[in-house]
Amino acid sequence: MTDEVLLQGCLKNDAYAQQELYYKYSPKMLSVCYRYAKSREDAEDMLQEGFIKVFTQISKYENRGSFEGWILRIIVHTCINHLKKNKKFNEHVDLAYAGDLIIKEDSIPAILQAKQVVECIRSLPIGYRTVLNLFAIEGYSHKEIGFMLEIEESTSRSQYTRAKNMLEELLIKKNILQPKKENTKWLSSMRAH
Amino acid sequence: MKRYSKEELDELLKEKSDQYLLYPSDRVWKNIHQELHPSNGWRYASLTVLFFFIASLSIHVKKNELSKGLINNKETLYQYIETPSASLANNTLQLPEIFIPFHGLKQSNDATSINLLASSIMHANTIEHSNEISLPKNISTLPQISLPTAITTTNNITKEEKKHTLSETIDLVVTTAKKISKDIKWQLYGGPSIGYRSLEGKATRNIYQYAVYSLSTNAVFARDVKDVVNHRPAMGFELGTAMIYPLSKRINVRAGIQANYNQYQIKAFSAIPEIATYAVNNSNSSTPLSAVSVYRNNQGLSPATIQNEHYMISLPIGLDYRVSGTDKLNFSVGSSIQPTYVFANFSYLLSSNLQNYAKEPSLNRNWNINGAVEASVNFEHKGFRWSIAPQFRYQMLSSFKEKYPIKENLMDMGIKIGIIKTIK
Repeated sequence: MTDEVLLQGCLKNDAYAQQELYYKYSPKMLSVCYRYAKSREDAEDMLQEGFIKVFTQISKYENRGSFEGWILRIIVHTCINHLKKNKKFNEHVDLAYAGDLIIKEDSIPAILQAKQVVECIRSLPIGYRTVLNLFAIEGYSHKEIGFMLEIEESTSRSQYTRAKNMLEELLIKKNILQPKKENTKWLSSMRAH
Repeated sequence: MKRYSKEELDELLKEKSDQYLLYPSDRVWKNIHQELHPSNGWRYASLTVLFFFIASLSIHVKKNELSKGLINNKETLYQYIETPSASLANNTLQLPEIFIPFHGLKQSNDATSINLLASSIMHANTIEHSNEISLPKNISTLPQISLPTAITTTNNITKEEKKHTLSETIDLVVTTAKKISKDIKWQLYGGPSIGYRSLEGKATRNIYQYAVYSLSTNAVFARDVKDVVNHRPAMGFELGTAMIYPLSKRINVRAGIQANYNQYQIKAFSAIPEIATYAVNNSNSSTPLSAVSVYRNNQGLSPATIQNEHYMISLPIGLDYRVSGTDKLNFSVGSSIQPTYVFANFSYLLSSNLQNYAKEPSLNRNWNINGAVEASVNFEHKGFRWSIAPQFRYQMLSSFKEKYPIKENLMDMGIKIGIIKTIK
């Protein structure tokens, strides 16, 4: 069923269309929530709150941009609001915190790697991972992030840089990422001359 | 392991995050659905409101009847208090040896007791009657009171008569409520009914099955079950017995046991045996239930009629309200709640793709709650009381368990004929 048909059904408050829409997008949206949340239960709470907003505010969707993108924005804002109730986004945490990551075995390597990457993101301190999620994955600018999280734009930039460094080390540690070696050909050719 | 530059890290994160999917538990959708469509509880709410309405009405009527009894006999009591002016001059008055029910006041000969008795009656009476007479706070002032002429005309009643009148009056008041509560009745009833059902929802899948089947079966799953089912009513019956306890002259409460037989018919087609699958709303299992089907919903070898039958036993508890008439002939309305156990269920369930009918007993619900309303004409004939009542019965919960996505609520419309005998 197309998004257009589902949208029309949801506008009429049709329970079946709402369920279809939920089934279609909830797996992806839950994984988004999971990247922000402290636990799976928190992620499901965020998802529930987010989808209720989606269904109650669906008349505000104006066909600008993709429907999925609109849902994603609502879900992300719901996650941020959820986090803002309890947390501050200016905190900085030691790299040592990231060493305790537990990753379960999985039979499909691509899924395993995706899961590992997500778990590595989730192992970052909350301030780091929120900024990283918003900037690197959701595509918000630092200015927008600053506004959303009520922090300085510069804070968002520095958080992002630190988060990225921390995550890179983690991914290397977990053998997911291997840094490219420095390109030294230009140096050796200069020496030859 | 891939080699990534720092610049490519963002791409990696986005790519891997997009690949990662998580499936939420059923709880999430249930909560969302409940939040968006809270009206599902209207049946319970309306029934509860109806029950409490009738219950409060019965209390109100009972109070009024008690008050009426007091009002009717109050005048005589006033006569007794007012008339013997000679005796009152000494502030003494002989009262009969009885126990006065109001406020647990025990009879005594002093004037204060009379005053309290009068106050009690005034208190028990309603406000609209309070302006008929105003009694003094002190009995010694009684001779100066100007009383209504209707009362003062009875001054020629003898002392013995007065004593007798008061005794009768209070006895009558005391026994009014007692008399009402003693007429317990027994009722045997039964009658034919027409059984049918309401269907709600669409066949659907759980979230795992959505991911698996969405490409091939979306069109099928978009259809409403009401649009693809051809069903029609069929005859059923009910048989029961109840004890009836009067709360007041107008209100009765009744409780008993009742057997119901409900059936309806489905137009289908016989077919060669095939597997019918039932996708259930259960996150613990992504494998649908399956059963062998010899009936198809749309096309098949030849037209066939399926009988869905239910045998139930229930415990109705309800209230009746007499709208008009006398004990010999009256018109009443009533409602009841009936916890019900379905002890035999011969039902064919529609498969998830809406194509097949098959029996899948694991999806049937055994315990349910019925609600019934009725309007009855009651009359006396040859020492028995008869009741003829058109009634409507509705099953509150679906015939199927929660995990089956289609909701079915049985309903019966029938004529209940009853015979009632007073046993006490």
